[in-house]
Amino acid sequence: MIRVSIVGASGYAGGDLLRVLLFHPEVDVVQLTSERYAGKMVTTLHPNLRKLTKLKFVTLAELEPCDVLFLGLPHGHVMNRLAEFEALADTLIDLSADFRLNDAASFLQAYGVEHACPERLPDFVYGIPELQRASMRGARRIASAGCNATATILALHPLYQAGLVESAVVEVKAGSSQGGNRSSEASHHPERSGAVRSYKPTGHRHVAEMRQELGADNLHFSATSIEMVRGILATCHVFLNQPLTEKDVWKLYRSAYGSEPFIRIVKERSGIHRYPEPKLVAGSNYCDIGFEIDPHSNRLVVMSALDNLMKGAAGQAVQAFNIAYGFDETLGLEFPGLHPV
Amino acid sequence: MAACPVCDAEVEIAADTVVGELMSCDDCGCELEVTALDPATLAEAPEAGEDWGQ
Repeated sequence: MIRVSIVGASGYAGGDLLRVLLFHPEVDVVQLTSERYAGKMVTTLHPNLRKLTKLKFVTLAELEPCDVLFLGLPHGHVMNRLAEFEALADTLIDLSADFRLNDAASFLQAYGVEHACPERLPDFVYGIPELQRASMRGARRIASAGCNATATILALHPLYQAGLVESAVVEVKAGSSQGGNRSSEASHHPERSGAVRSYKPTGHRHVAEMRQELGADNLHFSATSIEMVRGILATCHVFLNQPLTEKDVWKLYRSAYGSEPFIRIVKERSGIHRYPEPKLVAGSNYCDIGFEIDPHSNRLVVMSALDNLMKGAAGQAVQAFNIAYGFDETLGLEFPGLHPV
Repeated sequence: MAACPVCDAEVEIAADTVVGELMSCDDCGCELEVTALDPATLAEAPEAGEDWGQ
C-alpha cells in the first residue's frame, strides 16, 4: 500500500481528495493537515465522509514521513516550504499554481511575485494526464493543473495541435466552490445567491498556463460566476484559419480523445442533453466536450464541462498519481456522477 | 462496417441486418437507417417533425 497524506485537507479539494483516496485500493491515507482545525475530526469539515474515517486533522509540524504528499495549500505556500515537504515524502503532487509554469519570468508576470525557487520549476510535470501522460510515468513531482485551465486546454488542445486556430475567445461559467471554503463579502449568501457576475473579463491569472500548454498567444479568456456550487462550463469561440466540416472536427476529437478514459465527446442530435453540462459530471472525473460549427462564419464553438473539484483538482491529481505509480489510471475514480441531480 | 454519415464513425453492421433497419451511431448518437447492403450504406433516419400550430 502507498502511504499518502494530504496537506491542507480542510479545503474543498482536500475533502474530495480524501473522498477518492479512502476508496482507492492501493492507498492508505495516514495523515491530514489543517492548522485551523488541528485536533478536530475531519468529518467535522467533510460530513459526507462520516463512518468512513476516524482521522483527525494534525498540524504541519506533526506531519510524519510517508510515500506521497498531496498538497492542497493556497497558492504561494508550497514554493516557500518545498524543502520541508521533500524531506517528508518521495512524491509531491501539488494542487496549487506554484509549479505549473515553466519559467520564472512567466510566473512573475502571471502572479506578480518572484518565484521562491525558480530553479525547481523544470522538476515538475504539468498535471493534465491527457497531455503529459508519458512524462508522468514514474514522475515524483507533479503540478496539478488549474480547473479553468483544464476545461479550456482539453477543449482546445486538438485544434491548436493541428494548427487550425486563428484566434479563440473562451468564456467560463464558474461555480462558487472555485472560491474555496473561506467566506468573503463576495460569497455572502445574499450577494452570491442568484449571481451572474463577471468575475474576470480579462486578466485571469491562470491564462498563463493555458497559453503555455496550448502554445497560444491568440487565446482570450473571461470568467463569470453563476448560481452553481460545483462545475465549470467553458464555451470556446474558435475562429478557424481554414474551413472545417463537422465530420472533420469529429475525426480530430475522436483521434485525440477516443481512447481517453475520462473524456467523452458529447454531441447528440436529439434528447435534452445534447451538449456538455456541468451538473452531469458533478462528483466525477469526466470532462465532457462537444462542438458545433457556425455555418455562417469560420467560428467553431467548443464546449467543455467538468467538476472543478474533481477533473479540475482532486480527481485529476489522483489520475496523475495512478499514472506516476503505474496503477490503472481509473483506480478510485470510477464514480460516474448522478442523474438527476 | 459502414460510415456514419454525420460523424464518420465506423458503425458495425450485423450479418442479419436488412435494408430499412434503424440503428444508432455509438459516437454521435444519430439514428441511422440502412439504405443498402453489400456494401452497407447508412443515411440519417427521418425524424418526425414538430408542428406547433403557428
